[in-house]
Amino acid sequence: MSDALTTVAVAMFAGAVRVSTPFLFVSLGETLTEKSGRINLGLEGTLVFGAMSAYAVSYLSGNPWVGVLAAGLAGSVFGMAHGFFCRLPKVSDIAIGIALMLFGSGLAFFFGKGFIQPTAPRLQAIDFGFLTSDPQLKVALQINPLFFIGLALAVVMWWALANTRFGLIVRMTGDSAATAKAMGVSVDLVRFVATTIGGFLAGVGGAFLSLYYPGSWNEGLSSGQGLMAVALVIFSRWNPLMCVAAALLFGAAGALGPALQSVGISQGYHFFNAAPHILTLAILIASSSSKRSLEGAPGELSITK
Amino acid sequence: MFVAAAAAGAAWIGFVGALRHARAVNETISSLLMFYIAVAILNFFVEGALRSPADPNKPSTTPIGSENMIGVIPGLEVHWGLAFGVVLAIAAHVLMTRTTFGFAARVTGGNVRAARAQGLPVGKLMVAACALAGASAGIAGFFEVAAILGKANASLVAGYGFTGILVSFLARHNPIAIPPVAVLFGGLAAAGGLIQRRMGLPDATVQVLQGLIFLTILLSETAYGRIPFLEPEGRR
Amino acid sequence: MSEAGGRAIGVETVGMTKIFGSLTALEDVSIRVRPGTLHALLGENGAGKSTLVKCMMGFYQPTRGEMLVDGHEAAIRNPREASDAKLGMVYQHFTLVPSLTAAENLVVSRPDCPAIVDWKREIAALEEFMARMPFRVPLTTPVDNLSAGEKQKLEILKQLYLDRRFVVLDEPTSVLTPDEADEMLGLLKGMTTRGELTILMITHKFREVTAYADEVSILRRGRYVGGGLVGEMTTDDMARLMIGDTEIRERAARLEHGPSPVVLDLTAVYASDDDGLPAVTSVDLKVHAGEIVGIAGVSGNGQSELVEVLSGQRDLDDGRILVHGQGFEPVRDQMDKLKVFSLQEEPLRNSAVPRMTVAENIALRTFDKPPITSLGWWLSPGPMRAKARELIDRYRVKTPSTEEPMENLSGGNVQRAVLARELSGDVDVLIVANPCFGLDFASVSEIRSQILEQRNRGAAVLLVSEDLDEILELADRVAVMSGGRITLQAPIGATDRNAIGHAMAGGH
Repeated sequence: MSDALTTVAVAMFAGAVRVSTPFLFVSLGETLTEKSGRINLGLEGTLVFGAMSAYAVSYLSGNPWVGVLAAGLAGSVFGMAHGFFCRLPKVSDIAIGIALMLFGSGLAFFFGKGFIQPTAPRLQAIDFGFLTSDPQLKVALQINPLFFIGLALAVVMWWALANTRFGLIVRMTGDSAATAKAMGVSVDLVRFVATTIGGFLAGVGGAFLSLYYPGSWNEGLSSGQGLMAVALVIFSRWNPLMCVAAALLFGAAGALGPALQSVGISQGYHFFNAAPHILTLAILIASSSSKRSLEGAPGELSITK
Repeated sequence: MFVAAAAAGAAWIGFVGALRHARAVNETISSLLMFYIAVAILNFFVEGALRSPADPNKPSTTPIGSENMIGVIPGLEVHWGLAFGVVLAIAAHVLMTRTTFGFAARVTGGNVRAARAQGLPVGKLMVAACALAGASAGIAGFFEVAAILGKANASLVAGYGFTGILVSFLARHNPIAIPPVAVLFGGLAAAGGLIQRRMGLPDATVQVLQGLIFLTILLSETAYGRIPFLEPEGRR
Repeated sequence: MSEAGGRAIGVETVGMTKIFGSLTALEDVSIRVRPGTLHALLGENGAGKSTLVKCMMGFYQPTRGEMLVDGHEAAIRNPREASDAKLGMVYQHFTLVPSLTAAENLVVSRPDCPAIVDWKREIAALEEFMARMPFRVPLTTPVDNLSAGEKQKLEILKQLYLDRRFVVLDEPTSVLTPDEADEMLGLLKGMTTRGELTILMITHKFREVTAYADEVSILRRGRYVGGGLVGEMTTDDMARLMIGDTEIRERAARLEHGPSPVVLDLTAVYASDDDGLPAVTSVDLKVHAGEIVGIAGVSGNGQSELVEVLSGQRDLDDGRILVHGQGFEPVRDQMDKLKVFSLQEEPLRNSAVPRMTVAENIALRTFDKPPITSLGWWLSPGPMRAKARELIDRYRVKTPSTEEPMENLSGGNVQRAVLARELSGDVDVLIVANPCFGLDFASVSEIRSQILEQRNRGAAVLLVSEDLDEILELADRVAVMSGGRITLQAPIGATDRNAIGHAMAGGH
């Protein structure tokens, strides 16, 4: 029994690191977008489209990192679209997000039809297996470089929001658009840039899905990771460092199903697969209140009004 | 079966409304999450407890049996769901414009602060409206099973819910305009197979088209004035 | 600054005109603000004051007219160019970013804000700057946590930090207690006298004009109607120029009632604000029939939360509300039974549904009762429209039809429609909050007389207002709120402006 427990624990640790990476990228991107005062619910579509483009480009070029870059660029295009549409009067960022979510996944399935069969070169993990002699841990310590890039990105974003002009302007725009306008800052431009970067990161998150874990392209690749990342940002209180912790937690929850299956518990497999969704919902319920506004929420965010 | 479908739908989305009221959880995010949870539950039953041994390739439940199926409208190749939908649309229109419940719900939706200041039971109204909406989505699922598939399986997860949101937007939230718009989109979806065969395009073309239409509608809000015949009652 | 003499710059407008579509907001206005003066700009709501200063600051492009800065013609095409010309403005609504600290707010507002901020150096420089200023604020606290007075000071400090030499202040004292206002205006006046700064101050408080301003310019309906040295004009002159000869409805006479029973009775009422912090603390208040109790105070001291509790928009944390001696909970059947009505500030946000029609909005109180409703649930639009037409006529609501969406009406007409809905029935308790905020003179006097009429008919009226003059005009008794508590309660004849002002600042 204790063996099984260890196996599950190790598998969940490995899973947390593996599964958390797309969460991390999407939520960092969404943090920046929301800090500027917009919410982009379309990141789910961006993620799926990013996954498709990464896989396709990796297959065509033979280099998975070119695929990652392509996914980021494709994601930026979706970010740009969102940023551009939402500047128009009377257009709701939430509704545009849903529309882009449908459109992004549709487009990915449309173009991705031909890439379900072929095998694209995948991203290689960095092997930290030399740190241990335990064979299970050896496998768990195969960590993808994107995970470390995500960690570094979180620290950089946290620092930049407090210590750079760009960071201060993004926070100002997200908290009080009128002030930014009075200061001659183009609110639309700042949000456009923030949403574009957010789209880029979500695209990279998608690349991780198709090029590393699970590591193939099909239409059921994402089960709402892009959407959950949006909720995760609320849970992280718009703090990039907290995003890392939250992403790991969600990753562990996502790894629960496969981890239990690996030790032969397949009863209720589908429920364990829904664990991240249930966890997200539970956290949302726990961290919201009808009596007080969300602490640390950017003042211009439509979701907190 | 009909009642169970409506009740399940009502409970599912009523819960979303209750969360919105009690904990200020954004309904868009919570209902999308509830969608994934619902799909997981469906898969659990379809591949587990209720799985029919007769269908080895595609996991499905045991068929409900043809004697329990709902038939077609005589003279047409359409099942009774369409007629019921039209009746429901008219009922929804009457409910929203001609009853105190509809009026109070519109006040709550239009300005929740004003609704509170009028002493309206905002929470109950929100939950009730969400539950009604969920019930009608549940009924849609009922007709899919009882009139088309005859059993439940993964092909129920075909994005009808998302298309439904789109239909509602295109109808500008006017129940009377819903049936024609819904028929239009149903036609579009049904054409998916045809597009695939005739023009050699992937069937995701339909999804791309729907996404484009949705975007266009949302953006038209800013470009044009409102389309007069689609205006809700009393605003013409 | 020691070398400050002669820094102040003067600004002149010549024939400034601004036309929006069919509306002429500003017509041929020429004013001259001399360097080193404190110049007051007086006018009613809609007189064109803000249009004028927005043209000066480059927010609007004037249709015609010119501007002279320091005697030279200057084209100010956008706020940035205004800033380059060392012109600045402090808005009525704060333009600080709440989640940023004072230091972050100041540094980010600088046009030469560095791409990477060296906080150690910036903080040292800011501290040195603060030391030279007549007033200072904490640098590393998020602006959210500063008091209204500190925020206002920070706004002005920001203008000085950015080296602006001509500053427009839009009603700078509206969020301050009278004592704070005097302190701040005194310090600013000192700066102008020393020639460090020129100030153009938008205001409607005559007291501030006579006590602090050197010169005054008065606008009415978009035109310049007079002005000059403050010492050469009386308050009456200014008032006449400002208001003109608008015909005003006769104010209802104040009926003297004998001793009357308590109708609205609050005991130990507690409530929290949106952040869950205590906003209303242990409020005890009694309002008798036929009496107006005015609650004075600087905005943000718990008054709006108290009103929200009474009108059902906010939960009561603790305490008891009685109406006619019965426990009152702000739900619909109790509001109807105990005849509790309310007239809130910002009616489009608090009391009306912007996208529903005027008729529907007027029916918010009565839609679930006969004759609009039969059988308890069936709604008939006919009687609804008939009732709306009657009230629209009686309360002179200007609307194209009963079917116009509420959001298309002007502010005054929205408030009149709400007034028609809330006051046309039998009123026992009336909760009123800043009912005249942002309305033109004619609407203001009409709304005030309606409130007084309800008092004369025997209603118990609780009037919350940030405008002390409104309270002094209407109330029989005054209560002052500060920091969520009632700090003073007195009959209107037994107190004065000074005592109320002192209580507003938290004194007992």
